[in-house]
Amino acid sequence: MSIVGQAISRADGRLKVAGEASYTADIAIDGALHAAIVPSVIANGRTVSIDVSAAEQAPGVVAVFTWRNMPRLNPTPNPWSHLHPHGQGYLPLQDDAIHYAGQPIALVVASTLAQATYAGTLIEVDYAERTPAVFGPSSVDEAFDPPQFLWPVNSSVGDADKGLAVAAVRIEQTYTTADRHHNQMEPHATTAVWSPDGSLTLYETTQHIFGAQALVAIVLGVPPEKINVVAKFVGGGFGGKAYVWPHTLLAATAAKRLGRPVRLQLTRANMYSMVGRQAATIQTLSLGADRAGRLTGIRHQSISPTSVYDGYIEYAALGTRSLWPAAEGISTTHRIVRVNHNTPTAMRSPHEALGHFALESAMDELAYATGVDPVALRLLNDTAIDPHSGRPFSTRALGDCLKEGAVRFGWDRRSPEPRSMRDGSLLVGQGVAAAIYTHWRWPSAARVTLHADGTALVEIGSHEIGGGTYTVMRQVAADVLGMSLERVAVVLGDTRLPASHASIGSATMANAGASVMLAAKGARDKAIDLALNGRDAPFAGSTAQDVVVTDGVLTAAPINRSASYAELLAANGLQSLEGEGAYDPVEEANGPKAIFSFSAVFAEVRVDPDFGTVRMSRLLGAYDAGRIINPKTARSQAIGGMIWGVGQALLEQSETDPATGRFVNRNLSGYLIPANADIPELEVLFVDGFDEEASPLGAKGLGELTAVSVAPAIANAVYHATGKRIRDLPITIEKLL
Amino acid sequence: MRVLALARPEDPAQAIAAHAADPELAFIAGGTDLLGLIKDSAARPGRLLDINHLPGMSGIEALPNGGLRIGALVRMGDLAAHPEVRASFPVIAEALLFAASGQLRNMASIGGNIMQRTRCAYFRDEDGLACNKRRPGSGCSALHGVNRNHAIFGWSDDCVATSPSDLAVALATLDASVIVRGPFGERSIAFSDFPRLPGETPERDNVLERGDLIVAIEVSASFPGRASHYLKIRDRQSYEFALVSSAAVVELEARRIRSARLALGGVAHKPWRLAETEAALRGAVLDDTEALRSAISLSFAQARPLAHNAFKIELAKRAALRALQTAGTRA
Amino acid sequence: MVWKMGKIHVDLTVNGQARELVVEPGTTLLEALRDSLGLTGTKKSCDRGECGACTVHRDGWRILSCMTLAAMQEGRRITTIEGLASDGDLHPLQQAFIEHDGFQCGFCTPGQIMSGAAMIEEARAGWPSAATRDLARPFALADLSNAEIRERMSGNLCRCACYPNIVDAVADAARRG
Repeated sequence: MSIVGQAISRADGRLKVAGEASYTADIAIDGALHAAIVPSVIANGRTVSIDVSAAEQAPGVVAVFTWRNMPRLNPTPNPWSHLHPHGQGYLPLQDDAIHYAGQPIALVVASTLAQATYAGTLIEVDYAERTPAVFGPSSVDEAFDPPQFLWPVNSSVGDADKGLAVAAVRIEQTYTTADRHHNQMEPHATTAVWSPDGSLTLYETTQHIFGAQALVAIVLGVPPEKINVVAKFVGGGFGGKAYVWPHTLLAATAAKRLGRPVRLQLTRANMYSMVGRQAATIQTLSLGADRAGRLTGIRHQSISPTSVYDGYIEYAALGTRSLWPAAEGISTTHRIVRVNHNTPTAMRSPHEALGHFALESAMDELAYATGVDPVALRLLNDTAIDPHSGRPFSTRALGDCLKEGAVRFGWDRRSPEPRSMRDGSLLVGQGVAAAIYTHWRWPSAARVTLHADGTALVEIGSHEIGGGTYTVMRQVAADVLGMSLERVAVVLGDTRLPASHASIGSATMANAGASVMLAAKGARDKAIDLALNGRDAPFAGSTAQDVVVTDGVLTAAPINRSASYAELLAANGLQSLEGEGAYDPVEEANGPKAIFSFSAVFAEVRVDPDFGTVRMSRLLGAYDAGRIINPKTARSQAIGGMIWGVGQALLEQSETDPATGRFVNRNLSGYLIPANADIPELEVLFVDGFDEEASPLGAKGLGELTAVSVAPAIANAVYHATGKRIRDLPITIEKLL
Repeated sequence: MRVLALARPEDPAQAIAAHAADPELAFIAGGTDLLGLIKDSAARPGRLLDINHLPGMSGIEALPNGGLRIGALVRMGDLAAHPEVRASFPVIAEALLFAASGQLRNMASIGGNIMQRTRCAYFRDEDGLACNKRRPGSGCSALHGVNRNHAIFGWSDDCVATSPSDLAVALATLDASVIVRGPFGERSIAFSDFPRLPGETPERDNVLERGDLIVAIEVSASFPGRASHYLKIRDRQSYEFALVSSAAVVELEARRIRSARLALGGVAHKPWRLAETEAALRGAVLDDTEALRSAISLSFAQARPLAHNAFKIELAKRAALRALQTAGTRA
Repeated sequence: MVWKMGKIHVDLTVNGQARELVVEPGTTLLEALRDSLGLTGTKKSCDRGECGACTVHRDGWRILSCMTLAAMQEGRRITTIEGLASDGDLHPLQQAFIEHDGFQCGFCTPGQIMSGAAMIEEARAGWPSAATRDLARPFALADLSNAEIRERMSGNLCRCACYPNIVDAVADAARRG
């Protein structure tokens, strides 16, 4: 049986349970100094004076940097690119302007972190303050059309207005989502170590080592080949560690100036200003349908905040372009508004998880308006053709997700009337939502080396952020090589390895995984070639097609000959044999098929009608993510995504103080993420599939997909339980009283 | 964090004398609140007295009258697990178990618990925003800020913060007293007199003076605590401070209320006793939900919501009702 | 009464070994373990007692090392994740975490495991929780339902959100004893 597809425990499990997995701040660096950021108290204005004299005299302090003495940095490249991604274009400590609260206004470097932190409190700052711009209802009037960022800003297929005009049933509502912060358990950290030869090693919490290398090279004016970025273990990313944020540049610049290694780890409070977040949205969603529920027109308009210096767009209406067809047409628009917060960024699941709340809530409203069952309504509107591009979907098992999910969930036992199901004094509600998620195709290289001792080494510049990269890459290589897992080792997280892409957008399995597969094939084929044509060629006269490898032994069955990898290498006097894998797919948008992954989420809630408290009682996700390489790690990723969605639905919001423009709840007792007690038994169902368009491995993206449409499924369940339609996330107590 | 010195006093007298003489000195027991305040610069003690080893403050004793004497250094977890507390004062056990987390309950002392400072985000802000509790005279950022978690009772223009202790709400419904030793000897403070309303001096959470050391909390059995309940409402199911909570203790005669005590948490600068309600409940039939409801409403005439917390009025009424009814099932 | 200032010497036991720490008065136990002893398995995440990532055992009880001072640990017995395995054999809960995939990124995992291991002992000692239906009854390990485990493990946040697997791992380890 193939190793791929088996529920294998994690290769790095032992390290992680023993506390031996080293994250950035765990790596001891001799002589490292420690840096602390002094944040701006105000959100808009400038510093008039910064008195650092007391801080400079404080014990252990080596240097204090402000905009006056910080070395100048090169501007970030324009246009923005995933190849050299900056989180924000406004660079730290370059001038006296203040654009958001928490913006660094000084960096203190000292022998210990405690000394740096304390000295920071001694810095006296005078500000000239202006009223900050904040996001709110009035933002609707201030929003403008942004330049294109990742995708076209607007879309129009057919005539959506006509589709809405001719509709027998129309839903038009405004839905809003809150600012949210990633709050990875591991705070971002950087340790910058310069060598005398001018090369830089950056120990970095990043989901994108090569992106960090390229961007730091540009901004610091150092050739990229002189920068090595290392990230062996990352304590959660969720998009927030994909791009380069100011602390990395501060640490690297300070270390260079001081000629000593510098470590900078963000505090939890820093994580609400020094790095990005998921932008809030105000979305207007219009659905038109005939009496049977068949969609005639869809219009989705979204507004989201960006910073005063960047044009980040939350593409909330992206999924609406492709999930459901509408007979007359579909239009989507995105506008942005400038506020005094830092630039937003990708956060699980960027774009889709926000827009789906509007779209799939509206679909539920349409189900009630037409009297069509919510599952049936979605099946009725299912399609094999991408409404946006007109291309056929490579694979789309959404119907199976809905049907199989409904059976497992027991949807047929649901009574559709709101407030019709009870458990004692509690109201019970059940809701469903469907989802579509973008498939990213990026190039990736990998190397697989067979060693004389019969082991293999997989080398790839990818990342372990929790998805199980060490585990699944080993599986893929072992499968192709015909080797037991124990003989295959994986190294990753270092820019000296073959270049791969960012571990974002659920792209790693399909793309990085494909490069490992190709590299392993290359190594295996070289070994087969040795058996056929090498010294003493044991398989001479046979053909490559006849050779199978099991347990590291190649067998040419027709001639009844065998030889192990170790024997072949020894016979040919080789210490090792290398296979290179270069996966270079055509961009999804330029391919013949539309590639997306799909899901159906079923939620059950119990609501205390007296208190408005919503508690999850069941949650089921059915996923079409192509072939599942490791059901064990994939299931974990899925439950993680579902719970991420529970947070979006019920708990998470970064609140802005209206007067000062500051995020108020900048800690884990104020910003609520789900705790263990919030989570019931979860069920995960993978619909069988193999998508050869998506990846030679047959895999589509999973991690992001699983956090999409959890919120609308829960909101729809809350409606079913209470009869109250909540169109504003999170669904907190006061909205249900 | 800038703590310059630490000492372990030999006995309470030494601790009290040091505290009375040094305004920059703070007692530390569990440290679970104080260290957070220090890290956020909301407390700046240069010197800490580690009182964890003071004798005679770590026991839970049954008093002859059926009450309890709880040493100030008793950990929340030990108190919650104590068989006598679980059997005779479930409101205390529940208030403790619904608070914090297992780890914190193993650290936090009972004396420290009732000294916890508010969770108001403006007070806790490490950058030191306008806050009269933190810097008297600097103003109250929460009054017109994000104030969902703030008070609906007893607040002043100087401070709208709420007290975070769950245990304090439970104690407010019992005949509890705080045993304090100070430079002039030992005294017993009725728990109802212990926490303060903010008024014009919100920097003072309670009536303690410098040099005062809480040595114990006594709970008398004069008001039987067995028919009691602590109910906590929060957005997250666990590990969160109360949005609204209610403690109830009731004495029944058949199904009729002989006397009841109700207190609310998360609504004021101290546990908020519902005095008018308690008076009106006397003689009410526990099963007469309408009568209970109208009795509860009486105490809400004084409620004054802020911009983001008007919902707490209805929520608190319902919490009080449920707590009362649940306590009644234990009679 | 002796005021300790500057560099304070603290004698304590860490993972079964007598150690001497040299710390400042304000150094937390977490910082001392990581920076002075190089025991980086214990993680700093919130540094405010709000996440559980820094959980260690003190005299057998689970505590948060970020919310207590190193200088207060004189004579105490501290166990960190590095000291949980014995002679290279993983603790049953460590093994259960691997089998049930009780983690993803692994950053909160040392805290989860230290918390879970001590929590099982609390349950064995008869401690109730907020999920316990009848507080007056003695609690027995057999009462440690999934709902009990969820409540008792809620002081350890996991952003990868492996909660159901963590519950399975703890239940499994509790059963295995």
